[in-house]
Amino acid sequence: MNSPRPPDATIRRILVALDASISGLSALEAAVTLASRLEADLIGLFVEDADLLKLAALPFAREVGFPSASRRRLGSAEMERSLRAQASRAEAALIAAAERQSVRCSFRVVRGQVTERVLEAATEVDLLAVGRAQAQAWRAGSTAHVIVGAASRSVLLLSPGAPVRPPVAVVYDGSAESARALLLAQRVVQPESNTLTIMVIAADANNASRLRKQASGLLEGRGFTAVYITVLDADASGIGQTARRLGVGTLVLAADLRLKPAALEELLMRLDCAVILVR
Amino acid sequence: MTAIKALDAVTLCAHCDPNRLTFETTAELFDLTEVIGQPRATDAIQFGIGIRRDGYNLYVLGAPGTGRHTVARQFLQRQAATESVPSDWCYVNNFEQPHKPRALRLPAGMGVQLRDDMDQLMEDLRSAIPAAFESEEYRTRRQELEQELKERQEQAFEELRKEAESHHIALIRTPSGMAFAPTRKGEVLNPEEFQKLSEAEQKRIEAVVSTLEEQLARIIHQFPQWRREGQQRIRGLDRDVTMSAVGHLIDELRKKYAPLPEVVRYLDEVREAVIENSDDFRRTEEGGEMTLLGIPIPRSLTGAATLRRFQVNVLIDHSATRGAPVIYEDSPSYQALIGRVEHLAQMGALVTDFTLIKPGALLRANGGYLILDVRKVLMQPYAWEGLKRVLSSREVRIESLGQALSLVSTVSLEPEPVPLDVKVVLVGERLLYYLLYHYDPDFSELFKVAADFEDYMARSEDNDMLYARLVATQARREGLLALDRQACARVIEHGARLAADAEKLSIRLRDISDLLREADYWARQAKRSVITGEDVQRALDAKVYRSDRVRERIQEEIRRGTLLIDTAGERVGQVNGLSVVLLGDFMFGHPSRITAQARLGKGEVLDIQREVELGGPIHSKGVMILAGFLGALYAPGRPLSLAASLAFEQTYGEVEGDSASSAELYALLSALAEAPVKQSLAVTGSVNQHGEIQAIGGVNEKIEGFFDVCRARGLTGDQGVLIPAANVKHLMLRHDVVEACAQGKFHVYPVRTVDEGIELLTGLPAGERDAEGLFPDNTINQRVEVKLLVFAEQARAFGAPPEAAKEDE
Repeated sequence: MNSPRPPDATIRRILVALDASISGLSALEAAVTLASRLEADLIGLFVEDADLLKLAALPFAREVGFPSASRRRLGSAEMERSLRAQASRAEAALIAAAERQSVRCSFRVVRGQVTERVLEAATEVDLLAVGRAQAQAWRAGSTAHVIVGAASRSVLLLSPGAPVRPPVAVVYDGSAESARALLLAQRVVQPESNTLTIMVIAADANNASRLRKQASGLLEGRGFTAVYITVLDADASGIGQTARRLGVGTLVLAADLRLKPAALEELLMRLDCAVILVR
Repeated sequence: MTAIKALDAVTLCAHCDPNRLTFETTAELFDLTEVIGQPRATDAIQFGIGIRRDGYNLYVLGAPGTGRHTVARQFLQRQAATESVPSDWCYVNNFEQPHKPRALRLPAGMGVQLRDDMDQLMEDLRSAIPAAFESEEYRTRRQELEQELKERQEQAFEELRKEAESHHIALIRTPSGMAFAPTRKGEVLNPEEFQKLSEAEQKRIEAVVSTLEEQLARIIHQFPQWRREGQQRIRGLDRDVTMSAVGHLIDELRKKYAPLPEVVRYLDEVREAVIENSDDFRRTEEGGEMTLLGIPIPRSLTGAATLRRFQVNVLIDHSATRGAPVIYEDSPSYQALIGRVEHLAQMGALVTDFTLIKPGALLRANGGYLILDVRKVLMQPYAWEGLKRVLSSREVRIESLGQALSLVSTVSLEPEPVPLDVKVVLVGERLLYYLLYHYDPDFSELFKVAADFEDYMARSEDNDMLYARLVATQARREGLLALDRQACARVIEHGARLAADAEKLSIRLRDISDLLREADYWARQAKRSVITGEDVQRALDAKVYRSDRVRERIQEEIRRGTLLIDTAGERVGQVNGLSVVLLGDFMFGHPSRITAQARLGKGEVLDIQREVELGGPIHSKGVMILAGFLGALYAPGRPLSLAASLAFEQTYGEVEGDSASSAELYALLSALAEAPVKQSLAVTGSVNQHGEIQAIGGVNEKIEGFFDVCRARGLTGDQGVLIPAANVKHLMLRHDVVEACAQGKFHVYPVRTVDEGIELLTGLPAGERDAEGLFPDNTINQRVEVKLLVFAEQARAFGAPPEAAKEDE
């Protein structure tokens, strides 16, 4: 099932999971922007939640409206109709957004358990765009981090109201993944604000200086300004604080960043900007 | 018959002897610091300024050019300099009722300070507040609060989810809410699986789900309250953070303005408003241009508008004022007096706020004096009413005319009224004073002090010298050449001529200044370093020449015989009367022929002018007095059976005044007595029922008018003018007339009675009644009496019944 990984940071296909909710639509906008910037194809996926259909078929099925808190009966036919309508809205939104930024797109509907279906579809693409709130909504109790952790491909994680915006920063620790993150980040940097902030993670100053040289070697001849910030002995909170201090809009980092166990999840929880996790 | 003597040349013009003036040129004279000839007016002004009571405003009345403005202003400025500088006034925002801006009173000069302090405060807050909100401390605390709310919600869901899970039930998100579904091994049961469960189990699940739903509904119901609580805590945090940035800045100002409780109260309100509206300060000035429907909105009207509330509008600034203000408002419209609220056009609508309130003259003069021209005030719509209302209420309420007259209901601003303590000095004509006094009941309440300016002052040797100093002062003030003694004497003489009185001097400064300026012009033309008598005379002559086109035409037509005036020979029933014409500021006299015809009638003296409605009421009165005189003198015991007609020949306009009544009487007496009248003489003077000749106006112009006609035809030595003896003191004749009289070529006769006049005119004695009550033979009076007796007899004969006539036979 896994397709061979591209040898470089090229993103050719982006999957966006659609559910017509507000957070889903803002994830869509961000995905379209990123697709446009990376010249990638966009694939919209709508999952008809099997659990919902099963629930609707039960004789006592009811839903509690949010935020009205009113209780309503649920039926299979209504649920089917409701899901179809949601799918149509999602498709229309995808097409409209893609057309605005001249991005090639396709749309498909599948039925099943949402997280599973999304993760399954994500294996066919290079990057999965997902909103934090959206991921939570798929199943109460599940978190975006579960999906991020379970995904086998790069993930664009979006907070409500935080689109992919400058300034773009990338975390570089000398690993191959972080080199890919660096190359991807330089493609995300907008032409009009061609400054990329590179957070160099190192144990000491010597190491930092070496890594800076490495990074500048990788970026040589790409024609934009790089600003280096050294973060010594970084843990998740150090990176989070630095990103907040710099007012970072989009943070690119490698998924296998050498951090303490569970530190990545903590970092993702702390950040409220758009995050691209590179795998 | 006692012959009336012609007047001496000396009495014809009260010369000012240059040798009595004790200077060479007016440059040697000190400036006149006091006001001359106006003791009554200056006393009134001093009284009006001194009395500090309501309604004691001044009305300075008098003829234009008498220096009313200058004198009033001089007195006011002198008084104002000794008084303290009044307070500054500012308008500030009323944070509770923004449409009612508050007025703040501050010591002089503090208004601008407060304004600058508030500007500086805003400048400081614009950086201090955003800095406080960008601090790590604030961000962290805010995130904590937000996170707390989020966690509270999540925790509630999580607890519910866990409870559901303990019953093998999952909480699922539906398209428009949430639902509970029974599970087995983490998978939602499908209907078939559910049906396979025992009925009891199904019921249990349903009951649990129902309970869970109720709990979920309860949790959801609590969300808005939690959110409100969270927002309140965030607002509290915002207040704390703003307070930390604002507090010490405002405290500094509170300390500075501590002696002014009103300002301190305002500063406290500012602090509250800043804390409540800290968002206004956090908006950055940068960012894209704001638009509405694609039309750009100027930034000053949007972002800055909210901060305008904290500005101070310094309405009255006395930082540079010394003493109390003395303001003269040249254009006293309603708005110029009361003040106005300006508007800004914004997106086609007019908007305003307290910063656009502008003061009027009353506020600028508050604590001092305001001088206004009453005519200008009355000419401006509603200005008079507005002024009276302000003076009555002693406060200035700035509102538009529309508001004041209740014509508009869309009131934009109602600024707090400002207490007023001002003395208003109205300057105007006498007529307007008396009209206002008569027709406006408020006037006498509000303007209790009248300062009445004299037009003339008495002439004496001392006053001639004072007058010379006045001339010197005027010349120096205007930057004119100094006058030598002759010039000054000539100006003094002209002053008397302007007063039309040998014993008075005109104190209409405007006329004197005009004469000095014109004499200065002619002196400079002649390249002289001082103004000489010759220059003054030239200025006078030139002025007459510029204005006397009509006079010249009349004189020319008399010379050419178009207007029939005899200056030699004798005619029965024909007398040369004299009249004056006033054209602009130029007055001249000319002779008019007056004729009379007498015949039998019913005692009527017919005034032809009146019959054709070309005679004024005073003229008609004069003619009626003639009839009274005739009846009383000649026919006391029988009917006056006379029909006489009197006419001003060759006049085509209205004749007014009674100064020709003596001439008309002479013409009538001549006609009745059939005694010819010398045409070499002309007559002026009014007559009363006792036959006394009374004073008239324009005597100098009248004499000069007849003199000019005679001179043009050649002076014979017989020619002259009969004037009322009461007018001798008014004689200020031209030098050429005086000279001709001195040489015996022309004469001026002072006449007291009709008898004196008729004797001069006819050469016959008038005649007085003897012991038997009869006039002597061949006197004018005897002839007239006889003629009237004959008329009476004839009338009796015509009117008697036939029987009576037979009896007589």
